[in-house]
Amino acid sequence: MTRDFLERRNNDLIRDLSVLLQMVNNAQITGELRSYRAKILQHCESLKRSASLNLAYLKLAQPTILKDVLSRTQLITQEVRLLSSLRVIPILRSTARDRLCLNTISWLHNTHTETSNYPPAVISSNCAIRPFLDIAPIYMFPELEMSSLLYQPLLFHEFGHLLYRCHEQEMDALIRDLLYAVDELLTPASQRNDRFAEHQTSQRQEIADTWYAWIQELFCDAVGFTIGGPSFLYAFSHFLGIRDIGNYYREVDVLRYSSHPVTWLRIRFLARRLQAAGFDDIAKPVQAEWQKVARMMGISEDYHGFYDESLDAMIDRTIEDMLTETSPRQFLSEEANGQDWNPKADSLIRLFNCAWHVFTKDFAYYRKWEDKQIKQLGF
Amino acid sequence: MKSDWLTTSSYERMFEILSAVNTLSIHAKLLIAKVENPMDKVEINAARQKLMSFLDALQKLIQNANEEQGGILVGINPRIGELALQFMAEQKRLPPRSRLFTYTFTELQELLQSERKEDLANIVECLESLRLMVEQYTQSDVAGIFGEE
Repeated sequence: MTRDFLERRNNDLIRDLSVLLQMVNNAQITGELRSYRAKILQHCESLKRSASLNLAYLKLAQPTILKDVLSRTQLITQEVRLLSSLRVIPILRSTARDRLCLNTISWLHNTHTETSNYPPAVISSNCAIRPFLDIAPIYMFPELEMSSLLYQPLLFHEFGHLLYRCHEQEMDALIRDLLYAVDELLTPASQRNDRFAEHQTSQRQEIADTWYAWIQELFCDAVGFTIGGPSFLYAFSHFLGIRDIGNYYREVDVLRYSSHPVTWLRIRFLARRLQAAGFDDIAKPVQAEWQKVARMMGISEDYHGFYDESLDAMIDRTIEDMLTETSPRQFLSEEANGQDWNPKADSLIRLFNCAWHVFTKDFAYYRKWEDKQIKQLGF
Repeated sequence: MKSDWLTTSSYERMFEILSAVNTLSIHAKLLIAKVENPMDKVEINAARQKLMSFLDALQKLIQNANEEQGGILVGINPRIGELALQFMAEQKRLPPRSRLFTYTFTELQELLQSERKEDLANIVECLESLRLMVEQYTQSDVAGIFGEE
């Protein structure tokens, strides 16, 4: 009975995978997606082989292995669902509007050895990344911003998460010392030895887990600036600066479970990085803008004990070590100055900085200028 | 900007661990039944290696939490950390819920590399407990990937 059921489900999976293969093969895609499609087709074939192996196991008529075959079937089912709900979407929903983003991601991946084998893939959604290492990461990017030069640098932050995963073991080791310091500084000095000790340990774990995510976000911001130069701060600040109060202040319970530090704090870290690199003239007005919005909302900085300024030096040092470990491409000074982009000779970084230069100097002219540059890129 | 990266990383890792557990469990059971395994030997060895590395990492985490941080885990994906904390708790529970938690990590790694007849039943029991534990921790990653349905 169980055997028949599992046999049916595996045959269903083989049929589903054949349909997916057909859909992916027949999809009209832009040239940038060819390698991604090849990888997805390979993955579908490999899952079909796994389901066929399940059928071979079932033919052995060994009741003891049915539970294992069930687990194998569940894993293949999950993968088929993941394919159908996410992995094939960059292919099946491919439009010409994806091309700028795909081009930026492709450039990013090819510029870094550890990611050069990953083809670009993007879908329309809020900024995020699914950093899958088995086939290829999937970037998510909002529709409106997808075809704008101004917001492409936000992809550099997402790329930071991919770099982290590629170096996960070393990166986890690097942040451990910082997290010990956070644990010492942000948890009560007295270690209780009674029935409250368990509660205290769980609070300490909560802070350690929160900061595990936060330090990675701060690292990714630093990757964003390292690759994109000032264009990253502009894109980041402009994208998040006025959206909602949560970017400036969060109640303690919200903060406790936040996967990202408060954006205002991230701006502070980023601005300090820009100032250290000699971009005081860019960092100061951006910070002033954030302060102005905060004042208008009647907010003053408060991180409810989840952050303390005395950690700054150690955070900065840890991020420097993380950048050394992952070596993201460093922008060149001529790319950052925002002048004269030559499509035949210059990098995308120069173009993105140039875009912000034009946008901040002459907003009315910007759209016309952007259309022309995108045409020059061939999209 | 969402934190899908945490879920993705943990989902992908747990998927690999579960696949490895299944491969080794079937292998042990077919050895007991003296039935030839249709799976390639290379894949069986790769699954064993994958599980060894995972147990090695788990051991280091637990050791570190016990010796240096008074029972908390730092510098690790919190989802993997939760699994390690659960493993720690199970090791301390009396009576143990499974033979899996009575072995030291070194003993467990030695056991999982064995193909001796007298070890096979223990291997099967340990792998079954490990799978159950990992599956429970994968639930929230699966929900994170697919959403609650």
